[in-house]
Amino acid sequence: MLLVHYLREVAQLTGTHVGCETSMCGACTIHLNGQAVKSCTLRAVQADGAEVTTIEGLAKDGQLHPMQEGSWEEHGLQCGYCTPGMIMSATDLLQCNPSPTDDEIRAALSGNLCRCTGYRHIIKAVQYAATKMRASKAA
Amino acid sequence: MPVIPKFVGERIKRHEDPRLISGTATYVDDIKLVGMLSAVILRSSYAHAKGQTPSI
Repeated sequence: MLLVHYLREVAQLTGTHVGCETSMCGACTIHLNGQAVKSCTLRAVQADGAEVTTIEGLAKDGQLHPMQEGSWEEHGLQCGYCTPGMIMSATDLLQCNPSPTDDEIRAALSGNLCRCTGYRHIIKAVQYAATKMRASKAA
Repeated sequence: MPVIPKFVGERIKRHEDPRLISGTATYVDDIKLVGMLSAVILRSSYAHAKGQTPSI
């Protein structure tokens, strides 16, 4: 069983989406031990004992993650199907690189496809989150 | 005079976004009904062929 099917059907966490099932589209991106991975590439058993975070677990104490907030503020989504994967990939990027350039964001999100937005607003959303996370770290 | 909210030229946040960014939206693939069946579309590999019973 693929990890994405385990999450959706057994754990009933349907926020993680199945887009292509060939690891092209990134809709199924989650965090495995803090790192963004495509959950249709992994078997569920490979995640045994690992820490798994999905889009449902990103908000803390009812407070949206800055990347979720940025997506909302900057209109980084339309239909929202790719959004959980986009957000999980972007949060991994921001953990590794708190001040990414637009090109670095594009490179980091190159494995996540969006057919609505044309990507510009997604990049703005990541920059919104980066700015907010740097400010809260400095405070 | 009724107070008409100003929309034109204003920055308006979308109402549908909270569920979309938190993973709580319901897409068709998320719906599970009792006794729900699955459908598969099988296309012919031959143009203008005579349709017969598919072997599954």
